[in-house]
Amino acid sequence: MVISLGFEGSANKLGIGIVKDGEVLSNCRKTYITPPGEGFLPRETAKHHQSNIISLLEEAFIISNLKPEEIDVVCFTKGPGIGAPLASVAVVARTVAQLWNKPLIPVNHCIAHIEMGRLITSSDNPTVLYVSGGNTQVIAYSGNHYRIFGETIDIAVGNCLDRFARVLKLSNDPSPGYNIEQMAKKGLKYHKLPYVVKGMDVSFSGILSYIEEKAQSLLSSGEYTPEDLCFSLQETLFAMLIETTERAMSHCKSKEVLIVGGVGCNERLQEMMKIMCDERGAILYATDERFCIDNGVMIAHTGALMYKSGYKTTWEDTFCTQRFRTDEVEVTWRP
Amino acid sequence: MELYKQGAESKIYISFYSDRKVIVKERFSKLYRNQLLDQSIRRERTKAEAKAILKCKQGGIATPVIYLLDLNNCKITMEFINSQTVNDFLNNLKNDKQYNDVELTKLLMEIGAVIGKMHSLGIFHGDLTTSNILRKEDGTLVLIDFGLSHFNPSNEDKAVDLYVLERAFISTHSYFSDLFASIIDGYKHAYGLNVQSIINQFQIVRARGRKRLMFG
Repeated sequence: MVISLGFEGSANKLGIGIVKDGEVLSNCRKTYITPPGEGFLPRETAKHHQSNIISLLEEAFIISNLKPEEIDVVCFTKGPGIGAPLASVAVVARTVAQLWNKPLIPVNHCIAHIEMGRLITSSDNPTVLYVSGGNTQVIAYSGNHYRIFGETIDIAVGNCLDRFARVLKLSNDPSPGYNIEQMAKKGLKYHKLPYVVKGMDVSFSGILSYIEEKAQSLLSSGEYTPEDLCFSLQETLFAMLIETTERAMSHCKSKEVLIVGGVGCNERLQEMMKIMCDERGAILYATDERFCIDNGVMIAHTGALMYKSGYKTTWEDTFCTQRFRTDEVEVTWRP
Repeated sequence: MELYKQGAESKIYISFYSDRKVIVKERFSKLYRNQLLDQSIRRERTKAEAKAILKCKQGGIATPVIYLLDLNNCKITMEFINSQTVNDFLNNLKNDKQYNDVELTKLLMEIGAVIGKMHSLGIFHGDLTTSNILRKEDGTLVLIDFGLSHFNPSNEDKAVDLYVLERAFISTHSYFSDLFASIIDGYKHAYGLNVQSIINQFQIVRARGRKRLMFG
């Protein structure tokens, strides 16, 4: 039995979670929310994490009804992510690990999303679509590595949605993507946007430039409403994602899909994926916002898997890094 | 018509067109997609495929003969080619203890040469994988699946073609991956002048995938 404490703070979400052998004991999160029209910047985000992490840690212990000495292992996000927030959280993880004399495990953020999705949905060997504000990857497991079949060659899908939300001055609470989703539900009229699939890869930056440039004139002429544009953007971006996921499935002869990452809780994306899966006789696995959006539990769970498979960290290895590819990690806990 | 194969975006049927055995490739409607978007994607890809097949053929690259083009239903009726995909061919080769490196290198050089020729004709394929190159009994290589193709590609496009092929090679033929260099050799030879600028761009595209900044 391993009780694991996980720290996550690679972007604007600060999360702390405690798990005991796959059972979630606490899952606390605090999100740094900026005013409409603005994104979050490294310095301010780090400041937010620094000023909230101790009280969030206390909250995690109160909810789980545990004491620090009952923890077996401390885990934190090694990367990928934004430098300043990552470092702020890593410092706290290193400190408590030393204070309580516990082993410290550095975890890859992307792998943590996948492992959390597999745990919650009990899916065995799915093709994974990982979509968030910073990542867009189609992943399949083979030979002890999560291999990237296709990915974005520029910005992430969530980044594209968030930045369009800024153009429309939508609220960032609870997240810009959520507000785009609600607007899109009321959209009716489809405006054709560029559709960019390059082999297995996708590209979003051109679509964003296009709609950023056109938005004002389309709206002021009264031809389209903001809802229509949100709808058109979502339909286009998601169709690209489903298409590449389907190609990966067809290539790997896979019958399961798992959607993870913050954009993964978008219901329209899940619905589109479900239709595709039904057509192919495949099964869709998805989770809700508690586990889709960055959280501490996923770090704790993945760290526990690494710890149980015999992973040992030297003190020099407990750094964090902005760049850390999904396919770099050797997966020692899966056959 | 008898369903022969179903890919991610199309269904392939076997049929007959005045005594000849043909395949009918239908890009079927995807229910998950917005209807307008679906229509335009299917139509554009069917059109792109027919145009590129024709242009390749005019330039001396083996492609299937097109008999009928039905743009409204996104169907192309074309020659049935009795062949194996290079993907299957390489997989069988792996299990065959008898194969020799010289023959394999020759095949890889030929693959490179066909791609080099296609690019020098001003055609970008867009989905180059070993499943989209057929090998006939006599060794002729036939290019198929031009749905994502377009004309007058930039160096970036050409580099992306090579990069997509390399990645397909690594993910499905990892036991042969060091031989990708032979493909590039064949490519350089067939492409001719100014090939170095494409090879340079290829290095840039490759590096982009590996070192990209990623946030959580």
